[in-house]
Amino acid sequence: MKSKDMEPFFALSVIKDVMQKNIISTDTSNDDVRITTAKENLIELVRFMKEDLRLNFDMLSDLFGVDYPKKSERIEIIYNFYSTKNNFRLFVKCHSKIDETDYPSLTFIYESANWFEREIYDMFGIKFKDHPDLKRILNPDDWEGHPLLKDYPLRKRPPVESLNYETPGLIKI
Amino acid sequence: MSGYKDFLIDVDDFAVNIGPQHPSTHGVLRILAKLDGETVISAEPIIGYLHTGMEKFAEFRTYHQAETITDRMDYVSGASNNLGYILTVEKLCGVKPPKKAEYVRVILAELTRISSHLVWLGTHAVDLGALTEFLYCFRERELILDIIDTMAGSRMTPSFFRVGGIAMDVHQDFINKIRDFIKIFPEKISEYEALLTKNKIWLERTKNIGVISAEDAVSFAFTGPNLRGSGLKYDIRKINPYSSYEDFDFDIPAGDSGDVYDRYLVRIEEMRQSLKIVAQAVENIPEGVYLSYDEYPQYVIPPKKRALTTMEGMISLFKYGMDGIKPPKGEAYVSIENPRGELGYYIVSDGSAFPYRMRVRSPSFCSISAICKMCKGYLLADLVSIIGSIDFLLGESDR
Repeated sequence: MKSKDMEPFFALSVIKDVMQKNIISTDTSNDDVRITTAKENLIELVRFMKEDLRLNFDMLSDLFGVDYPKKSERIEIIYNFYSTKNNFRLFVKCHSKIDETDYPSLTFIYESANWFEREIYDMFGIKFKDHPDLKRILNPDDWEGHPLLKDYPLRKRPPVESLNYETPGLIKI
Repeated sequence: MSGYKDFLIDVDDFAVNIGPQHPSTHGVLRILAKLDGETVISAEPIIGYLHTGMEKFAEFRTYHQAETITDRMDYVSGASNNLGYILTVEKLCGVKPPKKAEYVRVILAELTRISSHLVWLGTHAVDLGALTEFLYCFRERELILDIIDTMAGSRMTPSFFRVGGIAMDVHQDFINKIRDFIKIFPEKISEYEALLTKNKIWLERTKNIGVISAEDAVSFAFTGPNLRGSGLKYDIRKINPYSSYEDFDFDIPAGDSGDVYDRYLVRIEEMRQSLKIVAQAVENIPEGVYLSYDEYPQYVIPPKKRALTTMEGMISLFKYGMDGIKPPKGEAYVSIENPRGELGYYIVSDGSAFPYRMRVRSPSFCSISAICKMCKGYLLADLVSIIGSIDFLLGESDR
């Protein structure tokens, strides 16, 4: 294995040393490092990852969900952290129900989390606690359902009568 | 009868709606700007007018059908998007393409980078009043699209890459056209620069406009030329080379102040560097096969000639079309350097012929989210120059 592939594993060992109690499991298949944590410990883990000088994960590069309908906590939310100083990339996974009421928001740590969390709300329906402006981003505001859930059909249209022809997309100022 | 006073508008907190159908929003972006006089107090970007549900759509397509979706997301740099997707599927399957295919991929990806930057430069300049630039840029873009057409058979949506290689062998016509292009293009870049770089009007409209610091840019997850314009040399082609980029010699341009002018200079220099990469790649295309069918027959399509002349080739082409490829269960992430920044694909496979989940990390999505921050305190006219300079594409951000 080349040296550049070793770097995320160094980051993993640092996190394991300090934050062992917050880690449920780790996965290093396909040369990526993935850590699973619980939503109660997420903020603590992310703060440590951002502020520790050996890690310095200063960019929340991506944030998205995957739906597993058979599990009890069916949405898996995957955070993609990147450190521009050290060139580490690390994935943090966290599970949640759709109607979870206190899923933590990262908007006060990373600016990019704002729109990513809006997209997850739009696509999966998770309401992030303390998000400053949680509303739909890609679909219209009056859209029903959350399209990326596995039980949402590929071809689905609202009946014609329910379409809002009067004031499409009007936003009140 | 209405008097003069009825037409007066309360100027405090005056809201202007720009778009979604406005030529200088480069697509269907809508911006809700609140003004104090001519100064922008806040500008809220509203996206979603081009949302086509491509992530959902990919879950119902086989791995090779899903490739054709990817180049329709970022329709001015199709080959780059195909490259990111194919590399991710290759990582899932554990397939390594032959060196020849990697070189051709690099050539097509870099040519698309030039053509994408030409579209950006032309439209950005025409927003700020320089119409000639637009005509110049589209003149050379036509040559590039012609080269891509020669190789892939289509101009903007090539879908030319396959898992484990490319669809067709390189031919001499393609090489000759690229050689001709390399000869003429450097002086064309000087021509573009002669119109703008030291132009007084251009400098007034772009210098110290839309400044974003490197820390803010990182926090907003900026990547690509936008981040490099703020002075951070972050380029995935260098720090985490994919598809044989380590073989080529090129520099990463970077700005220092992070204003519109720096982002302009970075992209102009990037075109020169891309041309340098194309010139190195096209002269050093290795000999050999273009599809690694012999090593990974269960994942890679047989070359056309073998499929039509041998029995086992025909059977495997048939199985490939009917069943598709089935990568092992797992997850993989690959990010590449798109003309707009870091384009990442995260694919979750459940062992079937369809991707369980395909996530596209699009660079434009993050850039657009920062418009509010970048526009604050500038004039409404500068808003046009700022949204031109971050070079987003709504097809990619809405997916």
